[in-house]
Formats: sequence, C-alpha cells, structure tokens
Amino acid sequence: MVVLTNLSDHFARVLTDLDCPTFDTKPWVRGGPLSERRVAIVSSAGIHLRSDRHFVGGDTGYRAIPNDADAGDIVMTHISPNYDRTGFMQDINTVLPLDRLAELARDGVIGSVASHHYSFMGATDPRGMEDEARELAGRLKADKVDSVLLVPV
Amino acid sequence: MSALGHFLEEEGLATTIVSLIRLHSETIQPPRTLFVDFELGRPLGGPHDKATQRRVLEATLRLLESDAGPVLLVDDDSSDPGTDPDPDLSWRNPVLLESRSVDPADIEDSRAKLLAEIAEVEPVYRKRLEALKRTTFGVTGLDIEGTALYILSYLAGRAEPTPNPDMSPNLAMRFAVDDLKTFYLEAASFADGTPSSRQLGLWFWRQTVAATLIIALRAQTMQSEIKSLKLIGTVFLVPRIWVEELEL
Repeated sequence: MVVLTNLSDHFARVLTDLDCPTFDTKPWVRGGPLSERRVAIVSSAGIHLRSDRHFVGGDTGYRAIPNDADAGDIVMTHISPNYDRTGFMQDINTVLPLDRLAELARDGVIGSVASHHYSFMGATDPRGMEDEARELAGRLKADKVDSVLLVPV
Repeated sequence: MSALGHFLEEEGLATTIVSLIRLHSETIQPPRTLFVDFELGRPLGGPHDKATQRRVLEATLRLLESDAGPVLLVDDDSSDPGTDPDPDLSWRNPVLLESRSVDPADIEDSRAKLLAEIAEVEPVYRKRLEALKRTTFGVTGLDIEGTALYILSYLAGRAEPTPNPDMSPNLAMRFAVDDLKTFYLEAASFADGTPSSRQLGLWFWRQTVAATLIIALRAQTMQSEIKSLKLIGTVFLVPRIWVEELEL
C-alpha cells in the first residue's frame, strides 16, 4: 500500500479513511489495437481555461480544454491546497500530458488525440459526478473518442 | 477518478487510469489501473522529466490492450517519494530577498514590507514569463499588487469588495492567496535545476513576508464567526503539511 510519507499525518489519514464507492458490476469495453485508438484525457486536477468558470467546493461539473489550448491559458482552481502544485506550475505535462500524448500519436503508438480534454475537481465525492460523467461520455463519443486516459492529481 | 472510469466504461468507453493512491484503486476496482508511487500533484512524474512522463503514459495506455480485468499494474520504476521528494542540490533560488521581520498586527508595516518583497520577486517572475510564455498566476484577475492589497484588506479586517463578479469576496481572498503563492513559487523555480516541492516550500513558508502574512490571515479567519470564512482559513490557506511542520 502506498506509504504517503510526503503528506501530513492528518491528510494521509483522510486519504486512507476515505469512503470510496464500490460497484456491483465490472464493466469492460474491448477495443482495437492501441495504434488505432482515439484518446482523450479526463483529469481530476480542477484545471480549466483561464476564461472558464473556476471550480468551487462540491463542484460536480467538468470543464472542457481544447487539445490545442496554449498551456499559458490553463489554470488550476482545485479546492485542496494539500498536494503539490509546483510541478504543474513548472510543466503542464506533470498533470495534463498534452505534449507527451501528441508525441505518442506522432509516433504511431496511439491512433489520434481527441479535439478536447476535460477536467473535474477530484475533491468532490465522485458519486455526485455520475450524471455529468455519463453526459460527458456522449460528448466524447461525438468526438469519435473510444479510449479515455484518467489522470488524478 | 476510479469511479469516473467506472461510469465512462459503463457508457461504452474504454478507460485506463493513472493511480496515485493504490488503496483507493483496490477498493473501487476500475477496469485498468497503473499505480505509480509519485508525490500527489505529479501523476506523470516530475516537471520536465519527459522520459518518465512518456513511460508512465504509454504503460497506462498499454493497459487498454489487456484481455480481461479489472487489472491493476504496479509501476516498479516509481518509488515512494518519502518526506523530501527529489531534492535538486544544484538549484539556486534566483529570488534574493532582503531579510525582513514583519508584525502582521501592524497593517502599514505589513503593507510596506510585502510590497517591498514583491518588488524583489517581480523581476524574476517577469523574466520567467518572458522566457516561458506561461504562468498559472491570475485566477482572480488582479495584478500582483492588487492581489497583495486585497489580502491585506482582509488582514486589516476591512475586506474590500470582490474584485471578480464571479467570486464571493471570501472565495476571491482564497484564490488571491493561491495567486500570491504562485507568483513567488513560479519565480523561485526559474533557475538551473529542478527544485523539489519541499525545497520551494521551505523557502516560501519559512523565509518570506508573504507566508508570514498568510499564516496570520489563517489564524485570524479561523476565529471568524462566518462559517465559510472560518472554513477557508482552517483548511484552504496553508497546506496541512506546513501547518504541522510549522506547528501552527
């Protein structure tokens, strides 16, 4: 189990004691070769375009980030101060790996990159995000996305 | 994150997850997970470490080719970051500050010393912005002086109206504190070498007037009778690890 030694004792306890949802079903979607997949990133880092709505406590919504967005237009308004933000300040790819994903597409490892990526704010109970997540699935399919990379923070 | 994977998979999308907390992944059991033992906030590894970022990304995506699941793979090349993740001993802070002591109860003294300190940070911040064309500062829409003065208005007990119509005054104060931290930390990171989060944190929280005033604002707002303000002060202004280390 992760040691979480770089966290405060209090925050490590919060994380280990967190009431995680469990599910009766184990959905499993099969697909073609990775080299033919169209991939979108869904982050829980509470990031968004500078011009978009900031996140607030209990926010269950998501924000869209165009794949060709300038990294300087992306900010973070996650409610929690209890994780490192200096990595994100120095290099957006520590949180939202836009450049690395483009490289994988260029090298033929994946088929293509989605036109948009998305961010939720992970401090919210994910059970409250179900409706938005299912609605987001429709948007992703409209963009011909078949595979989603989920990245926490 | 794992629960989002479950919902999206039920909707017919194949999902694969980078996990920073193995216990959560083992409990929720999303379809495909790569567990990495990195510091929270750095799910793809450290800044500018392209090789690690690519390795983690590709390994996570390769799980999409698994035949059956749920599958949880442990990335053996990442290791517990410990209490001082990846210190870079070659890092030299480009921000050189005059040593100042400040009395947060003296608002005029606090204002003068914070603005003087910001004047020392700003040239490095500007140089970095010019070079990298990227900043994460500016969530409230205020410039750095406006950010400082807005925070000081709270410390003085005379909170100014919100500078951003989409934010309540208290939320704007909270984001202004984030912006102040960002301004300093982005400047301090603009140097040869890649400072760890703790190296940057030690400097900011132990050596700056800005941190002294944020800590004082935290203590003040924790006494507020306004619940939302008290919550912001208690939880959101100073990271918990520094609350404990500084014995606040």
